Amino acid sequence: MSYLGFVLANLLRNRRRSILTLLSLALSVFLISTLEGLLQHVQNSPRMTGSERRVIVRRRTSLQDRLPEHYVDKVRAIPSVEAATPMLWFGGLYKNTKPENFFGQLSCDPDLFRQIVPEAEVVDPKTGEPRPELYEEFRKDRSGAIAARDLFVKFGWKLGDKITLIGTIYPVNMELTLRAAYHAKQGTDNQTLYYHHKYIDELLGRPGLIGVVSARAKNVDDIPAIIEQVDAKFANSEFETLTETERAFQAGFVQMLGNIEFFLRAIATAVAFAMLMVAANTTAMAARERAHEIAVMKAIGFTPARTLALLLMEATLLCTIGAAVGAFLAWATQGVLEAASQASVMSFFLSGYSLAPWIPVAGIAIGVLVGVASSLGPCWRVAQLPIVVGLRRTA
Amino acid sequence: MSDALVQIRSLEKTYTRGSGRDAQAVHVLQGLSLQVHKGDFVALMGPSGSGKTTLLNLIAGIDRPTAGELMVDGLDITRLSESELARWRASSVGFIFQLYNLIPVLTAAENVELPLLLTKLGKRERREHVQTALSVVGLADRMGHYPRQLSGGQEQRVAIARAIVTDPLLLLADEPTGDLDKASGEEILELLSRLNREFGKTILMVTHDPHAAERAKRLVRLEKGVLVSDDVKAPASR
Repeated sequence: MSYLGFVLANLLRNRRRSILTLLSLALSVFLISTLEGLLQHVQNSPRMTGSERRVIVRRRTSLQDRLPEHYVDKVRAIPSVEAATPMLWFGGLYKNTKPENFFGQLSCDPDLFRQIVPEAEVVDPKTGEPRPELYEEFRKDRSGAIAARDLFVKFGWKLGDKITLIGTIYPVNMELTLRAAYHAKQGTDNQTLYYHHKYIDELLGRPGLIGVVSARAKNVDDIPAIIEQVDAKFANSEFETLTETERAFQAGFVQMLGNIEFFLRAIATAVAFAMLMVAANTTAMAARERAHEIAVMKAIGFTPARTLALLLMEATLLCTIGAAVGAFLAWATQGVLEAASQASVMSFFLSGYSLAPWIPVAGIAIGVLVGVASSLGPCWRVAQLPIVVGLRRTA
Repeated sequence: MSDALVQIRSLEKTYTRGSGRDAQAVHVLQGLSLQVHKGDFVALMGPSGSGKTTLLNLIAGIDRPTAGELMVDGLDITRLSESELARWRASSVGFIFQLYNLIPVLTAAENVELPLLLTKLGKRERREHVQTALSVVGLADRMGHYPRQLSGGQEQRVAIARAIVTDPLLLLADEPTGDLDKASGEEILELLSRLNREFGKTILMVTHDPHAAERAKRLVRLEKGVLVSDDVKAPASR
């Protein structure tokens, strides 16, 4: 028998309690890891990396307020801007109001779209193989659309299919012909359909208004200057602007769901606290029940320090195993979570969700910390209990 | 200098019962002096509350005296720290409890091996020591049994094996037959006698049972914390 064998034998003493504690710890770490993973993904998702050279210009008053279309030319006129396109969020319904049918719908200038979003590779919607020639089909067709290949797969679309988007923000419906598919490994999301800005402008009676301007800088170092120059150019005008990096813009867009960071972190903290309480309760019960036995061990010759170490090892091992199970579950269910999100409005945010490797590791570390923190008090008390007092406790 | 293994002079132990104004001092041992020689088999008798178990606990180093001198094998154990005392107990004392106090999740062999984890012995040596100890108590064939699979007498024999496995100087037994039927109790007493007789183990045994005390070479009586008699029995009477 080794010390580890002794610790394991004690862990299995009350199997039901140990298993229930382990499961509650596993569930807690699973929740913490998944929540943190979601938060990290939403705040710092791969589609945001690679977009460093893009800025978004929007109306300072609100994202819902429009900008004049001629702002696009004024942004393009800035020397450090490589290209700029108008964009308008249509927000129409596809088929019905079911959340799983939600996807992004943005207008663009088809002549400049590829220059601004070069990471969106034009592919065959069936095979995913590169087919750059398809883009020309989209560019030539005023009512044509290029959509993410993921959307083709999800809805069973084929090239040449006609789809109708029912306006919810605007009093018009859009009939689009699917001309091309794109796929971006990073930099932009794979849940959006792009259409010609001129087409929506015509449908709306040529109001000459756009949602935002998406501009690509010639150099990433130019971004701060561009932001400053754009906002300065339109300062004190009727349509003042707020220019920010695409990453900041998307993070702000996520914030429209509410203070999601606070919400998720509050849940994670509550779960961690509950985990601490469960572990502390289990350890306190186990230590109290075994006060007599621990006194016997000390009478045999175990020092208080060695006794404390064994008790801590027991509690920490249980918490670590539970945390490891939870961390593994969080890692193993990444795909399930992303697949499940496809049936909801969250698919736009959870596209490409994957757990950063440090999160499960941190989950296990939390388990170790909880093990030590929850057991130190009860174990210290019972390890320091005078032997004669411990021996009088009911066995 | 005598060959006393345990040398006690003017030993006192006082507990405080209650707290604050209601605090009351209870003098459990009052100036007790006693010598136990190597190879002795001493039975400690006396009515409840006479201080027998307290004296045994003090000699075992699991409690501390209020005053007096307590030397074991020339070592003043009252001066040792908690950790030093624990290490001393591990090497020098074998304790046998009335209720056996085996660890229920460990097998008989693992229970006996427990004190050996505190030594520098390797796995194989520990196993040999365990086999020897369980053979001495006649339970070599019960090594893999858990305490719940053993009778009370067998459990106590495993507890004795655990007490002797480190080959301690001193065996201290607190009512070792108190929870056993007559036949099992007889087996335990015979085993203790054999350990004393054949292996030269020095044994101090607290008992209420005059029949058990008859097995000892020497009978010490306590009353109200004071030693009232100390009789060495003639060999023929044992």
